[in-house]
Amino acid sequence: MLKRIPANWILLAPGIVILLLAFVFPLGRLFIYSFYKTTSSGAIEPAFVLDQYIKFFTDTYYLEMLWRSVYVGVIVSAICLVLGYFLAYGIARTKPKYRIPLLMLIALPLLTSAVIRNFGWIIILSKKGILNEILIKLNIIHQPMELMYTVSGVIIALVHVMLPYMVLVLYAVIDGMDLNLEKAASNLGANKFKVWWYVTLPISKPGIVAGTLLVFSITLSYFITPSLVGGSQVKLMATEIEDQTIQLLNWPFASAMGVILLITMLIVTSLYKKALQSKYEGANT
Amino acid sequence: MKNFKIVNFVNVFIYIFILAPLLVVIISSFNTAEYLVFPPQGFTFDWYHEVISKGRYTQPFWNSIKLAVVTTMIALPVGTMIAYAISRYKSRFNDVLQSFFLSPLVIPTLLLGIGLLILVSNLGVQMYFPRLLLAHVVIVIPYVVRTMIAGFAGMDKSIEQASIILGASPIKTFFLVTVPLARPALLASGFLSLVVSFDELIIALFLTGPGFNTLPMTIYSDVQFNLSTSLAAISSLIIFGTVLLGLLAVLLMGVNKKS
Amino acid sequence: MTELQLKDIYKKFGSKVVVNKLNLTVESGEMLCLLGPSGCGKSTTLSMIAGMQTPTSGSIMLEDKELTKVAPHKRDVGLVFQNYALFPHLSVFDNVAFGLRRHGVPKSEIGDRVRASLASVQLAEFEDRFPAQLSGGQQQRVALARTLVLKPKLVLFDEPLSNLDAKLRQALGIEIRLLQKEYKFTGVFVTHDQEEAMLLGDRIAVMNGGNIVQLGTPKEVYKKPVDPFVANFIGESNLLPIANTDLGTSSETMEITILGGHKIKVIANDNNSNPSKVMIRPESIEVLVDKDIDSEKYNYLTGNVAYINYTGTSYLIGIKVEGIEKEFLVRIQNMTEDLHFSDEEAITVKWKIKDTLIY
Repeated sequence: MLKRIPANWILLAPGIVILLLAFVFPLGRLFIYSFYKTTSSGAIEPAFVLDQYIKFFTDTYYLEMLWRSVYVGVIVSAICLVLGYFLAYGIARTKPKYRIPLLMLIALPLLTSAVIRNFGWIIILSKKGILNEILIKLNIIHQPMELMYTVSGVIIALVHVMLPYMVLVLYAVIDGMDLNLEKAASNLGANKFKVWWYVTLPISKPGIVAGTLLVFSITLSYFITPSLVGGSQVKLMATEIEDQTIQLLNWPFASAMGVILLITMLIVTSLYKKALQSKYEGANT
Repeated sequence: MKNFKIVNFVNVFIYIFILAPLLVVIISSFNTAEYLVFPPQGFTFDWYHEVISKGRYTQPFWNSIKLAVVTTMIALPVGTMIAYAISRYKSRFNDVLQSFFLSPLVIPTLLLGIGLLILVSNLGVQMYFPRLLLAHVVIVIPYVVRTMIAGFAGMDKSIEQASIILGASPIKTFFLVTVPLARPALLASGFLSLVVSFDELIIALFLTGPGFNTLPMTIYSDVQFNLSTSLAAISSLIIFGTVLLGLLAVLLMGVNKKS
Repeated sequence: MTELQLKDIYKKFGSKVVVNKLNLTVESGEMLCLLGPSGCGKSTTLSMIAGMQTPTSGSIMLEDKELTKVAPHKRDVGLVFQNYALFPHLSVFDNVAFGLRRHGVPKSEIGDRVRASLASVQLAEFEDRFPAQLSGGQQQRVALARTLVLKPKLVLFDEPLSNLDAKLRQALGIEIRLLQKEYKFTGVFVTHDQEEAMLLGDRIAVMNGGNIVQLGTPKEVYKKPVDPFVANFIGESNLLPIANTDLGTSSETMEITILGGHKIKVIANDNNSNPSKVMIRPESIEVLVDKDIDSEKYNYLTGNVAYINYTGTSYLIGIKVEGIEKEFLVRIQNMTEDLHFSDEEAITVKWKIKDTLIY
């Protein structure tokens, strides 16, 4: 006799099958491929060698690219944090009836296609784009700025893509905060900035950590913006991986780059968490 | 109060920053010139007319719609079942299961794309639609699971118990009580699923080929090589469509709350 | 006739024992109250009878039928919830009809039965409303109608009154008793409120630590609590620690010295030769007005008034007695004349020796 399968496993079964088949298994293949060999003619040979990783780590071209990706991720996270904090704080402290419309306004870009949003940025940032036209008309600059196909342009457009994530995470924390704490602090004689620095900011720390981690993780492997705004002039890990896969058909190398990207993401995020944690514990003792 | 005003002042600029790219696309779409130039030369609906009547975006549009709808039809029930199992049954694996089903959100889509490309070419799966469908279901499931778990958590368990005590079997209870009560979460999940699937680009870049284009792919390639005003028009249509769909979902959820 | 029987019910969550070898028999047509503080296992016991949880071991019998093996939706047991648990998406009519439809009652019959049931809880006019449009009391009456329309033999009540305010609680409690007479069901009523238990229960089972500590009529439980826990849980009590027991003062009574050196006489009790606490109900105590001392019949205690509260129906006096940490409570009811005590004033109180209980 078959033992009766518990109801919850019956409910979970289709999901588990789909994820094993189309998620775990492909990622496993990717990992295995990263140890395959690419012959000089470009053919792929099953093997278990570190060729792809050695190729990556012995070439400054790729190392610089990895560094550039991490750098862009950090800068974007930092800018998003500042802008996102302003927005989240503003929404949390505004009248309740305005909160939902404002949050929807911020979430709206999140729901519209990222390709279209980057399209908008191209219209704004290009050499004869809106920004340059306006600034020249206002006599602020005389030569059009080069923003398209530069790291700065990529960062501007990426901040726009990532900002909603940051705001939503920060808002959840700031909104859940007890307003009386701020009132109590100002009753005790602290000025607005001091109240924010000593009371609001420390309490919103979990949101700051979660938000920056989220933004950094997504940015590091984000493809659309570097591809459209950066083009071939700003090579980042994500665009190079796509190139290696689609154009050069060097799947083992693309796989190895993917694994390196994932490991970089894990290392940076855990170092970041650790750094913040030790600071916190230090303050406690 | 003074600092508060500074915050608001800064925020106005940030809101402009947030809305600017979308507004720019929409404004450009009414330009009379064929290519994108600023300031606009005149006002016309011609490009919308062209986009709707002529073929360039029609087939990709329907491909994307079909993909989004079928993805939702699979991911919504599968994800709801997962969320229900995790929320309503005690199991020591629940935490692990939850992380497992949310992990496609954490792992970059880029990696999943390469992995799937390797896998389907090893297996020799040629048809583009099923390839994409499977990948989309995987990408969408975490959104559904997360939304539905939150939905079930906010639901009073004793209402379902009451149904069982009154003689409804667990399956009857699920359809007569749980599903109607979870309607707001189901609507939100369905909306997210449609939008995420409709907008997905990376998977399509990796897994599809000649003969099957999705709308984001077509737009992506036109943004690179063919910046025309009709591109702005189709983009604006997508923006309007997303906003309308979102408002519709919010409206339906609101109706449910009142009764 | 025995309706419901729990035999050696044992329930563990992980390593925590929640219900420990509980035995209980509920007679047909009676209302039994499970009374105890939160975490005593009363709600778990109830949900095992309803089938929401399965006992780790032991058996539940309903009219000599083993209930533990029956799926919850086939048990024909009614359950009334603390938070009403009405279906918010269904009208009052559909809420009440829900169970009938699941039991395959013919359509022609459903309308009449629903209306009759709603009429019996005075909600005949409300069948088209939705739960959100009703008050808490009305919602709970709909829940009662929804349960009783199925005419279950056994109805379980899971603190159904505790979300209501005090006045409504009493009114609905009485209504439940009347409905029981009308529908003739057997009831198990879980509560943490002793007044509710006294009002509703034919018998009360006081629970603590996963088991029943005392089972009896409200009067028995109140008059003769088996231990300080029950005494404290049901009604008010003065518990005085004993310093020294002097045995054999007389054959019928023995004299006890409590902390502070006060001597108290109690009825000799062979079962408890080494008691540690004396218990006196505040309402069995009187204030000594004349100087008549009858130490054969009464115990006396002198202290200073710490406070005196007037509640409308009674006075509550707290007395500071030397050597005793907590104020000694005296509740005086049915006063014909006003009591006048100022703070710190010396006061002597008396109570019958037979009203003095020892543990």
